[in-house]
Amino acid sequence: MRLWTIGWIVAVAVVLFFFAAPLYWMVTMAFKPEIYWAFSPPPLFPPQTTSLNFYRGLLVMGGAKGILDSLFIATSNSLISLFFGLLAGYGLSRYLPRSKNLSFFILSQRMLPAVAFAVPFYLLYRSIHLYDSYLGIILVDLTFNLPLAVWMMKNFLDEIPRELDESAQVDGASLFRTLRSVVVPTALPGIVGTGILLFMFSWNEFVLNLFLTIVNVTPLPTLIPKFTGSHNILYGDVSAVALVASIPIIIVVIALQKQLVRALTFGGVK
Amino acid sequence: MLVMPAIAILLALNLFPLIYDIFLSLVNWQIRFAGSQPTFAGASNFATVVTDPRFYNDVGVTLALIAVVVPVENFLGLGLAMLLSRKIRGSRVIGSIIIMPLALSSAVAGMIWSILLFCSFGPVDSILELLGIWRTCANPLWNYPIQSIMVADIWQWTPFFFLIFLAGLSSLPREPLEAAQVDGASAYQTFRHVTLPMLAPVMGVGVILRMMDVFQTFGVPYILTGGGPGVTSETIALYIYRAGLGFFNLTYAAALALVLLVVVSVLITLFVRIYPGGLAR
Amino acid sequence: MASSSVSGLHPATGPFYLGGNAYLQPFTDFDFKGTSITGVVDSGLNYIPFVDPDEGYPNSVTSGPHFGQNQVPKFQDATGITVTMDAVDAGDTYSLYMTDLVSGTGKWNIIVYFSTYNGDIMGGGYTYPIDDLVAKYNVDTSLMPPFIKQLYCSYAGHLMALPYDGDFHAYYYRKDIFSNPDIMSKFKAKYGYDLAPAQTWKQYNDIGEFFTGWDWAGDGKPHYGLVEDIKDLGHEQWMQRFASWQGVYFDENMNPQVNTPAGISAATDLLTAITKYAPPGDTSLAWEEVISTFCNGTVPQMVAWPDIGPRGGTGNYSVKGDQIGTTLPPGGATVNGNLVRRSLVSPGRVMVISKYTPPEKVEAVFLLMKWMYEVGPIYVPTGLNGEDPPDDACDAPGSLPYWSASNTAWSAAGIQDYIAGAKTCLANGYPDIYLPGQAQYVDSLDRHLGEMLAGKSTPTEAMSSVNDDWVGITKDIGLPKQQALWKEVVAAYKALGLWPS
Repeated sequence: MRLWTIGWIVAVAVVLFFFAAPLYWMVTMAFKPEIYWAFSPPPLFPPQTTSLNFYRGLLVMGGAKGILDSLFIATSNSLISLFFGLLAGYGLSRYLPRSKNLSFFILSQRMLPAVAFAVPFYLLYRSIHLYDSYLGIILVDLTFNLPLAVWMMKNFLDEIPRELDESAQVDGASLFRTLRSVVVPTALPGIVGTGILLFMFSWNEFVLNLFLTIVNVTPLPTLIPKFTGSHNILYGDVSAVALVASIPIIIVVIALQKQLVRALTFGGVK
Repeated sequence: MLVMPAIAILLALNLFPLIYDIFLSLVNWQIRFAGSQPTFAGASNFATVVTDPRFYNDVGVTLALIAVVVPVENFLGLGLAMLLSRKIRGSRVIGSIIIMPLALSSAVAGMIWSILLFCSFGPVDSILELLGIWRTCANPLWNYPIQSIMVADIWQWTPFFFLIFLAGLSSLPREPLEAAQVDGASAYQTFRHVTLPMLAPVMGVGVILRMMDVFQTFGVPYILTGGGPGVTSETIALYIYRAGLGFFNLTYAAALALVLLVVVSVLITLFVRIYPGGLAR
Repeated sequence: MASSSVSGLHPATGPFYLGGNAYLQPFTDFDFKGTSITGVVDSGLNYIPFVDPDEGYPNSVTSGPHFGQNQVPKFQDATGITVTMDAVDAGDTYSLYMTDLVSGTGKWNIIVYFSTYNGDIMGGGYTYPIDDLVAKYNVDTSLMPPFIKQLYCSYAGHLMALPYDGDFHAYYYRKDIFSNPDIMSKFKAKYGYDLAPAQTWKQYNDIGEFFTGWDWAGDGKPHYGLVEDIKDLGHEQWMQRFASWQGVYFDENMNPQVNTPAGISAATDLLTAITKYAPPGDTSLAWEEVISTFCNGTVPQMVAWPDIGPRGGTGNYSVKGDQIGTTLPPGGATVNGNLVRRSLVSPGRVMVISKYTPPEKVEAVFLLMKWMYEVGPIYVPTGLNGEDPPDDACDAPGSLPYWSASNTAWSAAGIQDYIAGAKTCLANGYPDIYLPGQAQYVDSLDRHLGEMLAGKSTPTEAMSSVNDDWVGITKDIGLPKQQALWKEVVAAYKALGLWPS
């Protein structure tokens, strides 16, 4: 029995090391002065620390703008997806209860590979001047976030008994009011969790960002390759930017773990 | 109606590119030359795709990625979730550490792994050397490019499955589990015949979502290996990007994208059909 | 417009380097006050000469009041023309510039791009010929080596560009190591000939073999025989060899000529050099790391872009400028008893006027080009401004003090030696593929050479695959069009004596 437990502990420790060590490396790289980047073998702890990587990465190389751009795009997109997703989900849940096929069809839109959209949107945006614009990317991200939002909202709303709405409506509340004061508060954990998930998918999206933005809008996927200059790779700078980009997200994800976990039941399990 | 706006947006955003892709894939259009006009080309672009060895190479790479990455992430995530759903001391902290990679943008994750795996001064190489496992400078990004991509992807997305299963496990009904224990079933038997079937729908959704994403994986290969050496680690999405923006061969990129779409749809539909027990909703 | 009264003097030998303000006259003679023009160049070190970004960039180009960075404000003051320069990441330049030109947006009037796009941009018809402007504004092109003038900056018989940066390939070697008596005798004993800068690729590989695997520097670290940049533009290392084996990319009818003895020899030489005598991990090294591999003494020879000498000149590395010898890359074929030695000049940068520039602004744009060519810092590379001399003006007497002031770990003799090497290389320049779709052709090279270097194919197989790819690419872009453009390029080859007879 004890050997078994020790085996498990070792296994878990290895796995934890696997997840945590790269993050540790990112943190130390962010503070390492440039002379230590090319040391072989690399030092575990930086012998000196510097804040130059942060200064250069964030302010000179555009890291701060990159982070803000990505944040803005992901947040806007999640909110828009949530809004329309909530409406559509409510409609599907309350008015088309036997529409399993329709909701699955909507979800299946997410199946379309983003890269298949890249060329058409690239050409279209160039002609209607949406290329390299915030609106352009936010719209495009809807192609994969909106279906997911609709589907998840429908599932969550299915769990809320109709009696709740009906009692509100009996009291004379309009549809909008019902939603606002009854449905949304009850479904809030699910909504928040879905929002986080949508945010993460938009935050992670790569190829569409690369195709459709370049100078004015520089989300992280467009920005980070720029740290690989024609002369050298700015390891410390990119690590500093990565660190600053990741901390708020990590904090949010950890703090709202419960909601995220709830959302990841996809409204499927009670 | 309430549902209309969402459907309208989706149709507009999704239908338009499809139609444009179809148009582009049926013409010959040298966009690089100003003033050139598209001319009808029939199925010749598709013929090129189907006879393009690079296309098959990339499909092979992508399928290899899926075949390894999805099961590993799935079962590793499941194992971790099972461990941590037991409310051992520190499980909240451990759980938080595990989900951190998921919070990173894929650009960031790719960058971190490219630093780690870099030969001349990446720590991975030094560690392996220390442990005596590897000769000096194994150069994993050049010699084992697909494996490098797999490792980075597993690192970033196992937490996704971890969270799904954590959710799934926490909402399992107690009775069947208790009944099994009363019947004297071992831990393994309980898991295999009671827990796993109950988790199957959630697992299915997670696997499908992940499969769809890995089919079009772009960010990590782009940053880690750029598809190299040569095209040994090039994914389909990378090829489409290269053909489109790198070569300005937008018609070929459209044809490739459509073929990818068909392949993905067929495979996913098949998967849904044969998945044991069907999926949640 | 009045014509400039100062004529025929190249600024490097003329007014600018002689001091005073006489050099400004050609620019103030013309009245373009109030005109505003736009331009674009790739970001990083090559942006600095135009507009000095803030102190975040490495920036130690400080000699003299008008030398080095920040030319745009000075130009604006002198001429009254307002200039807005955009900076774009090097990796994005192709898609950005092409998008702008193909869509007719024409956002930029002056475009500074990598000469590898000559086929797409010049051949695509997007540039304004500048023959007349050069004459009208007295730009002295006599110091441009014929290759630069007729191939690098011209297309279809017209001068289209002024050079901004010349990335010739040179052979660098450690003078001190090569003249060490002990090492020399060991080498002679093993190979039967004297150790000297490699004249042929066979000697290059011999030397590589000799220096691999033992501590000839006495510092306890592992050493190897050579290093080359494979990761960025690795195909150029093949092209460099291909050129010296008298290879041409296509014959006169656009049939690819890579699956030939020249192409296969080049691939074989490359394979041996990189897999046997380069440090392990060479294939993953970025350019900076390749530089430090040589400049920190790990290898005694290399073939690379011009930065190496000036890097030694900065004194930041353990190897200093005077220890580095610079000469033509090794030769391959022997023709009529003469060894063919070439220097691939790629990518480098050129400045062109976009054809979408409104006619009334064209001359103002040309004035900026003239300024950057004559007054700008392209003659004097330092280790940190990333500029490489494209032109013999780097040898002008007037510029020598600037070389010394900017490169403190380099004696005048060492600088002269480097300049002589640079001029020889430029005199034997060889072009990249100046055809539309260049990116696709070299992508095929990169791919198959990469697989070859990873041991997955033989040189013959690799070259055969490239050949097949190139046939497909040409057909895709349009054979008649490519043939017509290639004819023009071949004419320039022949005029320069580069076409095998």
